[in-house]
Amino acid sequence: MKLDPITRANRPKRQEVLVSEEEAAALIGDGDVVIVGGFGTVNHPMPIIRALIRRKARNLTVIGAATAGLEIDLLIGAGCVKKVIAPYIGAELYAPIGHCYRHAAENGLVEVYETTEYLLYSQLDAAARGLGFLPWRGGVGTSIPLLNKAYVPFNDPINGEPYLAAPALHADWAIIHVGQADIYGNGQHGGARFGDRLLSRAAERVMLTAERIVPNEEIRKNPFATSIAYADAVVEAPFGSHPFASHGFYSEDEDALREYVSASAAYRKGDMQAWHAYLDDWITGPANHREYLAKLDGERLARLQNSVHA
Amino acid sequence: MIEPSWKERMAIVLARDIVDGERIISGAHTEISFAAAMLAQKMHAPNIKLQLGGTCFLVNVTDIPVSLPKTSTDFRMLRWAEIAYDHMETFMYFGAPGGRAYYTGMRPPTNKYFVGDKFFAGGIQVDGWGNANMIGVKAKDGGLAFRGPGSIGIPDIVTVATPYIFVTHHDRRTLVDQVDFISMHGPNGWREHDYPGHGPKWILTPRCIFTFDDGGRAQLSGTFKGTSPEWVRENTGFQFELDPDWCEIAEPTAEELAVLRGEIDRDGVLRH
Repeated sequence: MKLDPITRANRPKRQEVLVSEEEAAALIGDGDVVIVGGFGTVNHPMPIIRALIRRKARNLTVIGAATAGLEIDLLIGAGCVKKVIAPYIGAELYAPIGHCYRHAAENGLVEVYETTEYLLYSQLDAAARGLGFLPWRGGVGTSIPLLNKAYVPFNDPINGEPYLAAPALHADWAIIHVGQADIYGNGQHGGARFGDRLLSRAAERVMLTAERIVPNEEIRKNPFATSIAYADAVVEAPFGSHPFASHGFYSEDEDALREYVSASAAYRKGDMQAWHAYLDDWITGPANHREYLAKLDGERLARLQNSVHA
Repeated sequence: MIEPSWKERMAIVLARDIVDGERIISGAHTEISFAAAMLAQKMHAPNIKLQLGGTCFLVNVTDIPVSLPKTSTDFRMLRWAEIAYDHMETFMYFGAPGGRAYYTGMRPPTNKYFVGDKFFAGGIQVDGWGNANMIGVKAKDGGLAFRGPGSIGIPDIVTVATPYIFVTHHDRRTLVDQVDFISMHGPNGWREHDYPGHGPKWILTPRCIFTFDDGGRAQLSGTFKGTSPEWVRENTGFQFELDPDWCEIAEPTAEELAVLRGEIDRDGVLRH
C-alpha cells in the first residue's frame, strides 16, 4: 500500500457558490421538479422565480410550501408550470385562491396533484430519509386518494388502522429564501422557518436567495441558527422576497400584492393584455434583481422595513 | 354602543365555546377565529395553548393589547409567542395519544403541546352531513366549474382535533345538499367507516349555528338576533330539523365587545 504524504501545495480553494439570479435560474432545466420555499405571503425566493420566467422555463413540476403563495401562481400564469403540487395556493385575505392557479386548474392548463399539508410533508420526509413512502392518517376516506392515485390506502400492520401510503416525492431543486448566508452556502433564517428545513432536505440540490451575504465567521457565531448548510448556489438578494415579506427584515408590500392580484384576476378573465403588461412591467422588464429594486423607490422600501417594528 | 357586526357575533360565540386549558389551533385566512381564540385567552381561558396562524408558535396575549394581523404569517405576531417551531413540527407531534380510545372520546390526560383539541375549518361547500369541501365545484361535464383553494391541513388536523366549520356566506351555494368533493368528513364518515378522528362540532354561519344530532345530521341549534329559522330554511341548500333546544343566541355583552374592540380588533377589521 502506498499512501502519498499530504501537502498544502496545490491545495484547492474551498468552493464558493455565490452566483447571480440568472446563473441560478440557468441551473434549473426545463422539466425539472422544483420545490419553492417560504409560506403564504412570506419568504419567497423571488429573484430566482422572476429569472426563471425571464429565461422562459417550461414544463416544471412545482412543489409549493404547505401554504403556497402567489409565487407559484405567478409561475403558472407565466406558463412555466406543467404540474403543481401544493395543498393550498393563494394569499389569504389578498386572494383566497390564486387567480392564475384557479384559471389554469379549471381549464386543464396545469395538472393538479391533490394533497394535504402533512401528506406533502410525509412525502418530502420520505424522500429526505431515502424511504419509499411514509404512512399518514390524514386524508383517509376523503376525496383526495380518489383524485390522486399516488396515495395508496393500506392498514397499519401493527394496529390495523387505515392509513395512506404517501410515496417519496423527489425534487431536483429546492429554492429557499433566507435572511443571511455566506459564500459557501450556509443559510440562516431571520425569523420563522416554516417548512423550509424539510423542503431543503428533500431535494437533490438547494439554492438560496439571501437578504445579505455575511462572512463565514458570522455563521459560526451561532451555528444553531443555520437552517440550511452547504447549498449548491447562493444569490445575494436584498429585498429578495418582495412583494412578499421577509421575516426579520420587512413586511409584505400591500400595494404591490394588490397590483399583482388585480393583474392575475385580469388573466383569469381572459384579459391577457393586462396580464402581459404586468409581466412586462415587473417580471420580464427589469433585466435582473438590481433593476427590479431600482423600480421601487427607497422611501417605499424603508416603509416596509420600518413596519416590522410598528 | 355600536351594533355588533356578523363577524363579531361569530367570533364571540366561538370564544364562548372554548374551555380553559384546551389546545386551540387557529389556521390561515381566519380573522374571525383569530379574534375568537384571543378573546377566549383574554377573558375566561388564560390556560389555553394557542397556536395562531402558520408561523407556528404558541402565543400568550392575556396581558397585552394586540391587533388582528392581515395574514397568518405576520412577523409581528412573534412578539406574542412563547415558543416558535418549524411548521412541519406541528404535525410531527400530532399523534393521537392513547390510540383508539382517543377517538371514542375517552381522552387520556396528556401535556403534549402540539396536539390540538379544537380548530377552525372553512369550506367552499358544506352539506347537512357535515362534509366540507375545499377542493372545487364540479361542472356538468364532470370537469371543474370552480377550483377551490385546496384542502390545506384540514384533513390532517381533523384526525386528532375537533373542528368548527365556519363559513362567511349563508346561502344555497355554500350550504348544499351534497358536497362535490370531501376534504373533511362529517360525523358519520368517521363513525361508519372507522376513520381516525371525529366529525365537526358545529357549522357556524353569519346567521346561525348548526350542531349534529345522534344520527350525524345537521340540526339548527341557534340563530343570531334578526334571523328566524324560516330565513335559515329558505337560504340553506340542505334539509334540517330544528334542535329541540333551539334558541336565539344571546347577543354579545358589553364586556365581550369592549375586550374584542379595545384589546384585539382595534382597527375594526371585524366591522368591515
